[in-house]
Amino acid sequence: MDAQPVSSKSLRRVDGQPQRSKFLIVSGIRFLSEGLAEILAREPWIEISGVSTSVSAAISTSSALLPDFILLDAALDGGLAAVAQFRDVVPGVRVVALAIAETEEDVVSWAEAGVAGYIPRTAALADLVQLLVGIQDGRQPCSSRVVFGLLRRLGSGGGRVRDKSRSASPLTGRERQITELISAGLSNKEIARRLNIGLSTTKSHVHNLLGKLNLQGRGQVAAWTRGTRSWRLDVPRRLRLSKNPSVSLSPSRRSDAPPGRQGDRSPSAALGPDRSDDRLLPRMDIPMTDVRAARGGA
Amino acid sequence: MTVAVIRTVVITLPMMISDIVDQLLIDDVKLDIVGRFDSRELIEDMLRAISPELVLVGLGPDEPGKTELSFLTAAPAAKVIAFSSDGHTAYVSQRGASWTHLPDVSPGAITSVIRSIGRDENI
Repeated sequence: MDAQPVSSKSLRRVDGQPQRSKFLIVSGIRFLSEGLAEILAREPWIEISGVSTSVSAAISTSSALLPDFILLDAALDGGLAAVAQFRDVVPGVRVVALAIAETEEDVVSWAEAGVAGYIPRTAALADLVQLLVGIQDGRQPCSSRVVFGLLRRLGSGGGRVRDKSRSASPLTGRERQITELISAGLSNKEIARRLNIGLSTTKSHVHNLLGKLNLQGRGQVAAWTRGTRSWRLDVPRRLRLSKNPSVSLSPSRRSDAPPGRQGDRSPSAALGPDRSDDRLLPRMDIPMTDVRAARGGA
Repeated sequence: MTVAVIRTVVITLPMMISDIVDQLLIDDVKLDIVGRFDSRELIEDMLRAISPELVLVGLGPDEPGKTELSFLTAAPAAKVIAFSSDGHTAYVSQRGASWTHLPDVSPGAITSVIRSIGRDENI
């Protein structure tokens, strides 16, 4: 019996096969990157042009490989900042963030970084293939919760619609929030927990904001913050620093997570259990199909 | 070609990972996933009732090693593959035997372990 594409039963397209595309897979987890490469290569429309275990290696090889898509493990250090670098090196490449926590905060962070789409951490393999087809067609299924959050961000000026005082700052909304938290003395780990984003995402933001502000360290960030208060009003009320550090920003999301998993998007989170309640919400655009049902198995 | 069917339980392991394992084996092994658990609650009772041949388990970041997996005594006949929380390492054991460490674990290493169940081999 020959291995069949994951999409052979679960993915039906009346308008023919998707356009053949070259993929570069970037993940520090060998089992994930090599396993995905082997399985995705069965799809008739996918050509695996390479697998890389680090962002730096992927950037250096992508100019030669010229992939159409880069499937980027969101848990990789420097991944968020690398999106723009990939797009500089390979104009037109579509970067897809793999295994992100499908929260408003993470989706907005990756959207601001310039990804063409994302794969939620809770996705099954059949979901991945369908999502990639959708992204190639310019569609990104997402939960109604994320859509609502994006609309709220845009409506409140947190997205591209900014007033002059906001556009005067070189930082994104998220970076401004993080400068506030750095100035308050929080560590990267504490910031990640406070904002319910991953540690690697936090590190990327810190790296980016230091570069944008031409600062050398966290102490300089605090000084810069004290001297620049014009954008303080941009920080949403719910992200204001609490005097009680135990107060959770999103208690409903955190309360059902197992110990040690709350808000964690470190590399470990990529393989840990995810109990995001988004799985229970109706999704938009295309339906998700279970690969086991497609195989007629268990 | 005969396809071996292996009764499998998946515990606190993302669906993407278990799907990858399943798809990598699709030519000659069918993982019959008879239980999938997102927590360790009541897991010992479940394992006793199910009596799986294979257990795929994801370790949490607060579980530094396989020593945490005392509940596996409830499935003494099963071969166990425990993935570390960072995804780089796996541990393999069967019938309470000592654990085999698979550093920088590859797809081939995992499929080899599972195929040995179909051949009833010890690791």
